Amino acid sequence: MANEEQRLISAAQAGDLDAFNQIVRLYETRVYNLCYRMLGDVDTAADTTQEVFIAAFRNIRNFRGGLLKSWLLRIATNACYDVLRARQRRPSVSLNSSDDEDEGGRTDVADPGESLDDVVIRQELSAAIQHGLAALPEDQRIVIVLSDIQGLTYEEIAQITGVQLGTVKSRLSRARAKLRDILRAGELLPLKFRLDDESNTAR
Amino acid sequence: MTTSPTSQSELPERDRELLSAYIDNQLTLAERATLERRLAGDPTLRRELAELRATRDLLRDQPWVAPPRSFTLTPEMVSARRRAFTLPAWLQPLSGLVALVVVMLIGWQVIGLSTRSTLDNQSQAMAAPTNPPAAAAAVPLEEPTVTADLPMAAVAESAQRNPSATGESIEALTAPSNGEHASNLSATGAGGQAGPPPEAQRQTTDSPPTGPPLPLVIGLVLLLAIAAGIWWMRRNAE
Repeated sequence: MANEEQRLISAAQAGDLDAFNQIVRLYETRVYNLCYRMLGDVDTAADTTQEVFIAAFRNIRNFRGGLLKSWLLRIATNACYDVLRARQRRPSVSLNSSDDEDEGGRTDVADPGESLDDVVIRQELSAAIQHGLAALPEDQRIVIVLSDIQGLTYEEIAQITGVQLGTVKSRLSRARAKLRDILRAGELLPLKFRLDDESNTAR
Repeated sequence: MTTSPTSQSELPERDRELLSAYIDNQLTLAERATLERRLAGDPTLRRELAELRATRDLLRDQPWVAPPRSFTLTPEMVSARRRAFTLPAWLQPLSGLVALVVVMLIGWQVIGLSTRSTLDNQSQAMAAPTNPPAAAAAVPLEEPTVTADLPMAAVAESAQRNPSATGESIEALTAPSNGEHASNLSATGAGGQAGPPPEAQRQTTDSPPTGPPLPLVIGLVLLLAIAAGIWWMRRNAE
């Protein structure tokens, strides 16, 4: 797998677009999910993901080893920050309202054995989490997304975000606590996932 | 979007950080043992740990969101992007070099102009008219004063280069008193008015006009080469 990826990287560095597109297929879901969780809307996340891969192809010659996943997520993180900064300059575009509009357009990877009730609950939960993430400061949001949704280590997160390990720890801790407070206070979670239910928190 | 939290944790930031790192197995053995001892006797800490862990698990259990489309690139996407660039990557360092050359050229021109202006002033002062205006008459007195303040080594070096032009200056420097010095300077000025200009002055004023300076030529060639490179790259990109 690693050898195959290295072969694809070398070919892409030589300008082979087909090889690069195989890399795209390997990482597009991961990159798109980072953009979606950071930006909160399907269309912007898709456009940003496309920009990420175009930028990656343009700069693949500058990739000097290490984890390609981290390199791509770093580009994606910077691209998301650019979009968020542009939004701050044009505050009419709301991070929160976009969720409601995109509710029908978002399709989670479905479990074939899932009942309709479970699908509804899962979508409610996903929407609640997205609302909670949107309320976090950007520097905390990126850390909690990379850690708890993308499943990366502290070291990888530090490398991607360009901050110290201690900063990652403190931002993650604050993000988790704040997200917990938001979800609990707004009662956004479906009943079975409520955090103030002793039976749920004790698991 | 949501109401503000009503039940914020009262735990210190440091404790929450420890709990968060504990959940991720990021504590040292000593930190872990200390925290576990505290957890055993502190229900508030235990509840906080449970809630943070539940929050983490909620996120971890989230399924991936399926992308709405494929993001594979087409040659058009890549070429369209390339056209948008004004400079290819390999030319970008050269743009800095061009800027440096331009600054050097401007600096060279300014220094050249000011030097020429100074020399012109000196030659005008040495060849002053018989009845100069009052303001201009002060110039020949000030100029030799600067020369008189030079160290002896510099004057000796100057004398080696042009002995005939500096002989009188050395005399002026070796004069015993300021009064005599001033009279010598006056005499020098008077001699300058009456006699022919010194050799050095004649060389400066009589030198033929030179061609365009080398740095200017190099800079222009460099600019032309870069402009041609950009044009060629754009033509190929289209």
